[in-house]
Amino acid sequence: MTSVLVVDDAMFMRATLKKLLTEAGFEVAGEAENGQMAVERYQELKPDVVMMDITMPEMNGLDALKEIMKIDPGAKVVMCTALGQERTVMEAVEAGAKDYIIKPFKAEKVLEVVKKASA
Amino acid sequence: MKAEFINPFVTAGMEVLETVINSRPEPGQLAVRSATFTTQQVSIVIGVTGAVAGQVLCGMSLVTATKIAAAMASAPAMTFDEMASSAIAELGNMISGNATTRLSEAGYECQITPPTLVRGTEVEVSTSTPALVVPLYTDFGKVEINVALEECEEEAAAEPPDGGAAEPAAAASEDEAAAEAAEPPDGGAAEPAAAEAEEEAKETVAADTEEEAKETAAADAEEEAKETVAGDAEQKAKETVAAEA
Repeated sequence: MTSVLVVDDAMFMRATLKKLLTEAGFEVAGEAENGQMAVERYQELKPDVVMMDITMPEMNGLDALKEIMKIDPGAKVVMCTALGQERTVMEAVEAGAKDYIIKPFKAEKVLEVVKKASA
Repeated sequence: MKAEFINPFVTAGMEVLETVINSRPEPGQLAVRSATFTTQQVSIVIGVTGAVAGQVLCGMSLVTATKIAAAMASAPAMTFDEMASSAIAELGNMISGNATTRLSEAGYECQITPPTLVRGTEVEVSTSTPALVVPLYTDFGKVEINVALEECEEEAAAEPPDGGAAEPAAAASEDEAAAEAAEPPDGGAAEPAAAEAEEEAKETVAADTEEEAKETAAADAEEEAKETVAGDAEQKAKETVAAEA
């Protein structure tokens, strides 16, 4: 079963993603509410896929992505954010993000991207 | 504040709300307001930094917020608890994130800060410019989009890493200077009173709105309509904004 780490500062979004992924047969290995916590949880849980928000306090998702890629260059991180700026998308992709979902999202899109990233 | 700065927020607000509550909102009349105090029971405050800097407030009644949160959670009913607060904060994050994406596409590269949810009216929110306000009427009630943004020329020209944070401080200093200038009772012609300055700002923005809205709002809406897949919906938005102008 594919394990997923859900990272978002919004409790509502973490709960929404957890419900969506669990009902689709994925295992939500853990949650994190900021980038720093995401890095720590990644090292601890070694999930197959990370769903990563960008706008978060303490450490944003782009910095967390870069930290995780330093720790594990094979990490599969999918950005899930309201920001769709070309510069931000390019920065994420160049840093190693496997895919990019813009909020608000359709449930099918999330499941498709997570399946693709974990393949 | 340029009228063109609010259009991305109105379009984003309509699109995001339509997605999360499955119903297309109708925009109301554009107004100018001092954004010093919240006017709605629930307000999401989001900072914008970069080539455009300032604050955005999305305000609504507690009833509207609760209904929208329930719709977002696909729940038949909800109390306005921590989860509902988080949903509404995320709504503001999505509207502002989508709007700043549009601003960046228009050449104003900017980012947003994490949202802060404020409960209650008359809560002071520090802004350096009068706000443009557009109500969006949804099936669940009114959502007010309140945008107080200024162009940050230094950031646009040089894009220093901390330019976005520096601009509001600089703007605040200008306000302080204006307030100090207004203090002497015999203030001359070169030192307008703060109230007069605010009135002038309102008139300037209102004039800008009248003059620019026909060109800017219509042009923006037309451009966005071409780019958006949901052409019909965008056309509707264009006509509404242009009609209001």
